[in-house]
Amino acid sequence: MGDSERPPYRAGVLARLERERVFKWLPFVPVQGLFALLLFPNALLLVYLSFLSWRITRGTWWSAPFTGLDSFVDALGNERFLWAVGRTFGFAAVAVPLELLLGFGLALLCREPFRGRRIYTTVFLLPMMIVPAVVGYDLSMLLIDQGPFNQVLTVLAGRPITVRWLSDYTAAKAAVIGADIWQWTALTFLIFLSGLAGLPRDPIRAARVMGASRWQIFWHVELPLLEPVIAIAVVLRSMEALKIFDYPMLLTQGGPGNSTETIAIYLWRMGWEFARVSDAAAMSLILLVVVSLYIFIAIRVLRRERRRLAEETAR
Amino acid sequence: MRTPSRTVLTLFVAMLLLSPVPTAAQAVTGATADERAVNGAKVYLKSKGLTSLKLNMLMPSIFTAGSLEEMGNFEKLTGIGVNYSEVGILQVQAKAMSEAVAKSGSFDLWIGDPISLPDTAEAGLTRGIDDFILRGNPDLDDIVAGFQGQARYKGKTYGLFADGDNWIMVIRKDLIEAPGEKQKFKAKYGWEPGCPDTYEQWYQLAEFFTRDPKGTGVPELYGAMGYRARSWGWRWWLQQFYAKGGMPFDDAMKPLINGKEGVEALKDYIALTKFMPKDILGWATPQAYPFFAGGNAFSIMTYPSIAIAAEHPERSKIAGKNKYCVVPGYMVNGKLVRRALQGYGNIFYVSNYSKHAEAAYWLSQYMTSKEVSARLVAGSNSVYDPYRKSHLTDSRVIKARTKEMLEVHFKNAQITAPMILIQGAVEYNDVLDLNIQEALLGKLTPEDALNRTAAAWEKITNQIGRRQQIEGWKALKPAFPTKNVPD
Repeated sequence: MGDSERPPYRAGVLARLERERVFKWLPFVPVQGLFALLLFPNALLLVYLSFLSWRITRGTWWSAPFTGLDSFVDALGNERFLWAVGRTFGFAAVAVPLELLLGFGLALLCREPFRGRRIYTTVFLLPMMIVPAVVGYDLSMLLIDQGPFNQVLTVLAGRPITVRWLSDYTAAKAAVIGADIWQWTALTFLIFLSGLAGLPRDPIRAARVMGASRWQIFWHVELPLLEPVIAIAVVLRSMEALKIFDYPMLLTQGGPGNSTETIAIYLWRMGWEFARVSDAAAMSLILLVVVSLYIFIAIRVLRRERRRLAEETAR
Repeated sequence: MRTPSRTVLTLFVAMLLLSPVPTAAQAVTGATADERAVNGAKVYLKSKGLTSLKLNMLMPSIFTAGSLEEMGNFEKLTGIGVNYSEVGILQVQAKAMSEAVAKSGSFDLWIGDPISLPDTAEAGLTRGIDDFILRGNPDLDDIVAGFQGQARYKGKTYGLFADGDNWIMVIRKDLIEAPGEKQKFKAKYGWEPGCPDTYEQWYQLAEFFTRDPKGTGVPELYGAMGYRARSWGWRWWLQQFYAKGGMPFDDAMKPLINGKEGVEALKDYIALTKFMPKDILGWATPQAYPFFAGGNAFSIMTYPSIAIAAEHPERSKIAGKNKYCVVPGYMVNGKLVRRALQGYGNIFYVSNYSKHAEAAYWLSQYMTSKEVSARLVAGSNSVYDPYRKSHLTDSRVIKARTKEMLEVHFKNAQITAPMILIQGAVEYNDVLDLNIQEALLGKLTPEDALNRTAAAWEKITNQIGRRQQIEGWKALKPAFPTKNVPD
């Protein structure tokens, strides 16, 4: 090809950018670039700090001694840290499924138009809009021994009920999980409501024409179609639930004992109260690996389901 | 022979040479500490070419209501006001440490406890204020012995003490004097009910006055109150441990808490809890004060500001019905040993990263001066507790707190012991607190709880550096009282 046949340089660049495999990534560049700029240096610093032995009270981090993997070894032998990890996953394992069930149930109730639907939808979404610290503080007042919550339970039960929500080893855990459910069911409700509204009509109509009952349509058509939405809700809520901090901090300070001490609380104490930044960094990285694995598995499941769904739709 | 004129000339030259010293650290004029603070602030503003200034302050939320009026007064007098960021009292340390890393100058001063001082000073956040003290003369000799010392670390002063938090005991005299109660009590326990001398006597009082006539398990009157919540409870055990004659460490920083004294004190601490509200494991001041002032308990061991709540003419059901007591103790080798813990004790600190450290200091001096501190201590929303000798005779303080309370408070000050104020104090205390709560919940035996604490303390000491910790502990030891009982 001669020089005269070549497209002008500018047109060539544009043509390249317009190719689908390039163009589809373009919108992400500014956001991801910003993330990289803001997060990468911090992440690298976190990794570097985890290989040092630095306390805030002991000079600057750049003059702290290099101790290799010591902080990781210490963290993996730290009973309190391991308990905090286990406890946090335990909280998430209880709270997230309940939030999903409740959110799904509420979304089903609100999917069809009815009188007052907007008001109900707004009410169900409200908890999500409150700052978690405010929820924690308010609940700390509502849940005291002789507080309104126990009074309501007493009226409902018709006999004195005094649950020690903030000072009993087990009840405190329930209070923390309850707070999370109260606030974040709203998010799963929103996700499911959108998911239900976006369901394709044709397969449902077809099933109805073929004489399927309401339950059969739900179980065999709608629920499979909603699987990607469910997976998204699971991933989003799990990620958030594993970071739980506000409620246990405000309700119980991680107590009684360490019954509600979550990873976030322990890391916060380790870094900012005990000034042991290197140990906190190592623990954060261990946690990052564990959570990443969990999210990786969840995303794989999500992709597999989407693929399966696409194949079924194509068939 | 030196002539008189030569002597005069020599003196003159010497004065000229020395003159920069007093100029650089020129004392501020004013008859009182608050006047000097105001004058110092005005001079500072002028030297900076400013007419007004807003300082940023980190404020434990519990102090906000009691502080705003006086901060407003300072602004009217000087032009220096305060933008305050509220934070939970237990979160001050974390905020301070994050600022020690960020070095942003986001706040100029803060109110914090003495526990955090070793760490914040070592981290370079807290500014030494000896130079300002020289200029402002904040009447430190009026402060009760031992209190201002809590704002010192490694020979330097880092803050102005503002809150005499040594504990006091309050019992309900109206209940003791109710018909027949004294006789019944004496018949059962063999002594006339009143302020307990020992923890055993407090236990007996608590047992006797816990009233659950319907047998519901939720008494109408609880016999005792103290704090047992996470981050608080350890302090109440520590006071009992000190009264047992215990010391947390030996001279080589080997923990001593898991000895006989510690275990016995913990057993007593747990035993007494059964006369407290069942929810006490989740309570601190915001719950405990109104509960006691509501007439729901017979006795409480807590901060002296309980008097504000208990004697409040409108908010308290028990105003005028209280008896204030010197804290109880234990018989140690045949002698009664009483110990009051300086269970918090707030201090005005100035940040090293403040652009207006001097202005922040003048505000601190104003707030802690004889006159202003008396107004603060007497305020109806105040949690500042008396700490100056002059508070004992100040009519406003007497009106708010009662003469009896003040006299007892200052007696308790004579036997007040500090918390563990060495580097890493927050971590030492946190581990102690966690294990004490586990023992209280029955998850660990008292022996196991303290053995675990001792083992964790050893690790912390080794991690920070034993030699350094030995020095810190050695420096703290003189702060412990020498008297067994107050005069």
